[in-house]
Amino acid sequence: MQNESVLLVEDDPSDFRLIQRAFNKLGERFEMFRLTNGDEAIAYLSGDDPYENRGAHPMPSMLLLDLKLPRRSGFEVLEWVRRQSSALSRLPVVVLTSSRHSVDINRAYDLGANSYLVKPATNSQLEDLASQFRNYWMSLNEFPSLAEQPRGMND
Amino acid sequence: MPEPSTLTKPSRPSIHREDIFRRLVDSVTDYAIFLLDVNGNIVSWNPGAERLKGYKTDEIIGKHFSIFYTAQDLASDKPTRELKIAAEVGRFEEEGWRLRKDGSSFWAGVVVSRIHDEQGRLIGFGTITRDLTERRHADLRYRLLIESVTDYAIFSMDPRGYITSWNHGAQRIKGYRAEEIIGQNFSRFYTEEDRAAALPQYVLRTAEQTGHFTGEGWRVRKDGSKFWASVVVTPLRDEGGELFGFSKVTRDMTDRKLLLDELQRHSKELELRVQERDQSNAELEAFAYSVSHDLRAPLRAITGFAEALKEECEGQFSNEGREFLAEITGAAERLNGLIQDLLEYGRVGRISMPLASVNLLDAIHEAKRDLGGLPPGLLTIAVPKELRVRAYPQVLKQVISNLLSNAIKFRRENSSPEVSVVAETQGDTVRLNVRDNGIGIAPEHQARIWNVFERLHDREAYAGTGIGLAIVKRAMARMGGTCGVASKPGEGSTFWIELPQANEK
Amino acid sequence: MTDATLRTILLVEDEPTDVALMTRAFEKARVMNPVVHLVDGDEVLRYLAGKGEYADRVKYPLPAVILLDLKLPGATGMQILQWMRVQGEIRRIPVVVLTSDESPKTIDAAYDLGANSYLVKPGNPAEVSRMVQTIQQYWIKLNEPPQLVMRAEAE
Repeated sequence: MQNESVLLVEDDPSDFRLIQRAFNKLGERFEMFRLTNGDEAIAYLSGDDPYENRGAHPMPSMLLLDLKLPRRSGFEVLEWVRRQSSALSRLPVVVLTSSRHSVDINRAYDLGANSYLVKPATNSQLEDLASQFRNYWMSLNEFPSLAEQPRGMND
Repeated sequence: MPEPSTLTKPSRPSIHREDIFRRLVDSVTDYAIFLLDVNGNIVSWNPGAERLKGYKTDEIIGKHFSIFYTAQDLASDKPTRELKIAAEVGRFEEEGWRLRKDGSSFWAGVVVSRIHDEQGRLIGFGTITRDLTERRHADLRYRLLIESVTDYAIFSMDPRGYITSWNHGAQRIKGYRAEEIIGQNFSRFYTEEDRAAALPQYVLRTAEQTGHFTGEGWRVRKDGSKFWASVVVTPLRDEGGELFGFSKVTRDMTDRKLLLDELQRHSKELELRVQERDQSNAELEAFAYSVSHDLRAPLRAITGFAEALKEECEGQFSNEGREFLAEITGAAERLNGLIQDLLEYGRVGRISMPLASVNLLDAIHEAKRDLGGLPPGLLTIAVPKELRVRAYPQVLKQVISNLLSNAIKFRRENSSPEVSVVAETQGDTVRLNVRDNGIGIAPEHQARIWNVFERLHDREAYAGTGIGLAIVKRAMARMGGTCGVASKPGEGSTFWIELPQANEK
Repeated sequence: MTDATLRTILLVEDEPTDVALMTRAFEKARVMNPVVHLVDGDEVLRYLAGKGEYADRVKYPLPAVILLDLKLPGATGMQILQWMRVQGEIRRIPVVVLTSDESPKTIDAAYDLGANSYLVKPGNPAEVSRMVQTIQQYWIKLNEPPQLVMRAEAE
């Protein structure tokens, strides 16, 4: 599972606690950092103060992003990421939110979300979600490089 | 009379004959007859020419004949072309505009012939010009047959828009009498804005280039009042295809315009009302959405932590403690169901898409599938395959699903449920009956059950949110249908819905 | 697309051995979903654009996920990704690149062109089987697909 890590952006403390609990129950764990609002997320990804030290605040391999956030919304964070001219724009983003509204789903895909997950009602469903998430993204998926590199095939 | 200076004298002068011809020419006053040298300079003149073109002999001799041509013709080198044709072919004939000495134009019939000596050398040209203006007006009138027409203003203009004829209809509609309008430019019928936007010129140009101009717009009468006009302008061309003016037909459409404006106002109002309704629908939608979203978050917390509590601390609980925990979880689940049903109820009232033609049997099968696996033999369906109703597909499915679910749920104790779904056609209407062999409903309750949150039984007896039938009722109303129930306690119930029959897809 | 069992998988793979492996894996995983299998890149474009017979969206529905090999006859996988990006609703459909190319440049390029995920074809059948199961669990059962109108929109 290499050194993949997930940056979770979730503002609701109850939701966060339950999510954390579900992921912690998994056998093989991976790093998960948590932020509580959109501005913080962007500052983290930009390496702005107080996140300049990449030793203490490493770049995550992907984002797990709620949509309803204080300050900047999940949509705005997603838009910001995709708008970057650096390799950061490739950052895989999985939306994890309570809305099953097709307007939100479509908008997330339009803005470039890699995947859209709906927060389930029960703990056991949440544990299933955590397990599938780990199995797919952490064990199977190949991640892009986020450090600047000379771009290859699409020039 | 001065001798023509550039004409070569014939080798054998025949003065006598020449003299007679001259007298002939001089006696003609209706025609301009004059001679040109090989270059087109005027070398003779006659009284007819003086009368027609306005020049006296001494002021015209020696001048080039192109001074009779309009600026347009000069620009296209018409005079030179005419001489060339006359020289090569022998003769040139046409009708066209010519200018008098005072600058005014007249419609001329012109013949130019070449003159050669006995050796066949070109020595000059002879020109005969006739004023055809009157004849052309007569042609016009004849062509249009309009003199007595009063419903339409019909008038003609020269190529620049100066009015050359006027009919009674024009006088009636626009207010001008013929004698005060002929010679004026038609642009005075246009509003100031239209004149400033060069609309009159555009009209003429379009008519000339495409063969006609058709349009509607405001026009101004003599007294300054405006009327809504429908106009057609057509170019008038001679046999050679040259433009000699325009004909315009105007109709007063004010009445019709007022009617159209009224209609437009009404439809705008209607649009506004629809917009308002859509907006309030959108607001309701947003409200319902945020309600569901915001209510669900603490609900998740309740369920989640109750379960977590159960996992972590179950061993430490008494039996009662475990029961309490189960109550919490159960209540959270019901709350979830209520929120979902309420949302559905709200959604059903807000549909704004058009009704569709739905296959009834398909809808029933889809509803059946949504309910999950039903034991075989429980459900009998008697619905023709091709029967279609006018409905919203998803909503109809929901309605049938709710009715089926009820039919199965409210079963009699110790009795296996049997449900039959039968369709009847009565004229244009289709009635779908869902009959069950369940507990039935007492007459005094048969009205209440359609209300939101109305339940006839406590939760322990039969689960449910009390919204299912309210959704059915609201949905049927939205689709222009009806619903009802026939039932006796202990004898089962027949719930029915009625919808208009639909034709092909 | 509410019922997960109705969601269609579009498998784009032209290598016969890989096709055989995948098909077997789908069977073993008891994947009930309809799988549309195409072997040519141009055919994929026609399918997604709804051209010709594919205009019948009841018979040829838009997929909930596309498993896309990069090396194809006709349009390449990269070209398909590129084409999808500039379409209307079609661009929302999640695309999982499933290919043998492991080079970081290719991976980066795929993400740049909008791939939702990148998987490297495993060597042995057992791993293929596990992969297919994980794909189905994640992209068909868990992930929320975009809501697409059933008719074709693409040029």
